[in-house]
Amino acid sequence: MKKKKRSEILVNEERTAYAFLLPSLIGTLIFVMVPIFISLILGFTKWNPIKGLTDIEFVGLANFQRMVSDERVLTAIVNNIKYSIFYVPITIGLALLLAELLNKLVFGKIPLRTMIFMPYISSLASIAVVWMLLFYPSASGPINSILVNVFKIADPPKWFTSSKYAMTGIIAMSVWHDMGYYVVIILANMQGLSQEVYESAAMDGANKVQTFLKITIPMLKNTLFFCLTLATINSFKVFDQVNIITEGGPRFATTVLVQAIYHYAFKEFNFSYASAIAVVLFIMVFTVTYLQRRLEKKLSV
Amino acid sequence: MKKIVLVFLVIVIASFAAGTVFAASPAAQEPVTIRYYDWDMVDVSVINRFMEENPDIKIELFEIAANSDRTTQLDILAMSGDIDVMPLADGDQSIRSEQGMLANLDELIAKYNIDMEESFGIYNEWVKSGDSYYSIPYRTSKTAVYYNKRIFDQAGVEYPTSDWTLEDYKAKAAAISEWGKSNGGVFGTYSHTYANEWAILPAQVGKWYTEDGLSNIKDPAWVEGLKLRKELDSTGLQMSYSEIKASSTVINSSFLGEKEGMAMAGSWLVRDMKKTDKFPFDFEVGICSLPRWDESVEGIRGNYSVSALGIPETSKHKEEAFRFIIWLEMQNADAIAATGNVPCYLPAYNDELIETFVKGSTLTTEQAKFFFDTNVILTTNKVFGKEGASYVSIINEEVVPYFYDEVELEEVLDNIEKRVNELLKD
Repeated sequence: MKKKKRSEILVNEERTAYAFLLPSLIGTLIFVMVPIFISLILGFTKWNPIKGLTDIEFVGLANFQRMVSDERVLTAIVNNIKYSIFYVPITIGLALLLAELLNKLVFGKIPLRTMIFMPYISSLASIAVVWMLLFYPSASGPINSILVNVFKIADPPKWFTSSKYAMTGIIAMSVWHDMGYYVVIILANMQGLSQEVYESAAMDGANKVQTFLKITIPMLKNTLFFCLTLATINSFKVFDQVNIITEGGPRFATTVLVQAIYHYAFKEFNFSYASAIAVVLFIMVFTVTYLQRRLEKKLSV
Repeated sequence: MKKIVLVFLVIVIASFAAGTVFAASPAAQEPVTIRYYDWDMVDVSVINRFMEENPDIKIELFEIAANSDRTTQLDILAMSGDIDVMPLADGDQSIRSEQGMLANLDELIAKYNIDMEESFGIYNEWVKSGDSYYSIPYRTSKTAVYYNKRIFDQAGVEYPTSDWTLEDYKAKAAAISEWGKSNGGVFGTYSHTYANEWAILPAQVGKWYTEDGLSNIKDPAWVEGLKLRKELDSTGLQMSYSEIKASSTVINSSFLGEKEGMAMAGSWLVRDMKKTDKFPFDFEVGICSLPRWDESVEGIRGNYSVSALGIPETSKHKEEAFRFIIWLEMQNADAIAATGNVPCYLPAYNDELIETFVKGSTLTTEQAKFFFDTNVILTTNKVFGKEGASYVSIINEEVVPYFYDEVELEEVLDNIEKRVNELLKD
């Protein structure tokens, strides 16, 4: 009798939980799943949105075949990979180091944390303008004048106006902008780590570096994987800073996939082709995230 | 009984009919709402006057920022049917009509007996696709050379005259730059980084397409035009392309801020000269026609582009939107001129209109006559013809590394030719 009552309570609780979840599930379905599904379908069609749904023509894999010879898309894929390879480890690595430093600080922890977090909540458009001035291409630019006068570099890089260095500048700005967000996540988890383990390590004679490498990092493994996943997804979605600073140029030097999608959708009105590129981007992000999850599980075992 | 039923039926039918009439009356008086977006609005009193004269139409005005994303915003609105009167600029109209975004206006033009040739003349080139009209010319921007008389006087350089050539232009720019070296680094001239801005002068002789309808980017005029931009940059006669990009410099604040002696800019600079709170200046501005590309070019030369008003295919009130556009353009040229823009409606061109145009800008009516002179020979740096918008977009992508000193001109020309021809042959 008692057992029956308990299971009834559980069922009721479950129903209540679903009832609370329902609005956000419906929202996710309508605003996330349905657009993804529509985008997937559009990738296999030729469609002029002005003419409505009646004008859709199924073209099979034509949009995907076009990508194979499309310099803009191919360069964008390479640029996205380059961006991710540098942006993700640098951002998370620096965030981890800064979190460790902040964690050890006795005074000024809160104002410093606020300062580090500040770029993340600042508008990317205004930050971009400041960085454009910092990386002014002539020798009189703030960064370049340091390179010329301190490091004696006679011909400093032209940064955002150079095919060779534009992506470096964008990565530097993105790392600076996003790092604070990951610092806050890592620091919050760091502060929750058991102090007993550290005390034991100290008693065993472990130095600071050993403690950091052998205790802090392994204990933060789940947090770090979460940050890595988030940073990777964000790195594939990079768009705002590229669009504001270089518009993907010079030529295609900083063109990324989201920008290619934007170009084809809103400059050439080719929504079908843009959707096909979006599908490729989705597959890339999904694959990398899946591999990261697999690695996380493997390391947990 | 039959009588009662009959009387009952009559009452029912009569009350139904009366109800319909009463219900229909307010609906008939309900005005149609037209949504009009623009980045450069005429005075709101003009719109109010239209609504007074046309009580069946209500105009809702929406001002959008004049930034590079404006076209994307407008396109999204047009696709969703949320806009009835759509501004189009810089040749956007051709790609939008090709994509079927704009409504064909031929029937409405015929219905309202609009003589397009007499009303808009040469400006019609910008709004036609084949023989059909897809928008109505609204404002035109005519490029001139603006010069700072104070700098010219101090540098001891003579003012340009309408018969000047490219060599004269370069010589004056060089003289001012030389003077500028000991006077705050003032440059001789300024050319902006807008798409195809480098093509303003060579457009006097250059052709974008070959006789076979393919890319003619290797036309000597375009080759020399690209070299000219690079030469002016590298010899320090103007702020370089990369510095303009990196510092987000704009013509109005640069020229009116006395950073250079001359600037090649559209007539819209007159609009900004009126905004003295935003762009304060205390020198006399001179205006001259464009220098002739070479001795073979005759007449007074100008470069132009046209902004137009179109009606998206998705609009539910095309005729009302058309009535508004025609009224705005053909009866309110003075209101358009008052904003510092040159209206496209040719029959309105007179001294009074020019006076309205220059009011508050420090320019004289005589100086501004250039913008309204129909004898000026106009060419354009934009590309008309098959895939014109994409042609410009490809050129813009390819020439930037050349202006940044990263690639050779031959490579740029080969890339443009290859990409444009692939597009044209497709």
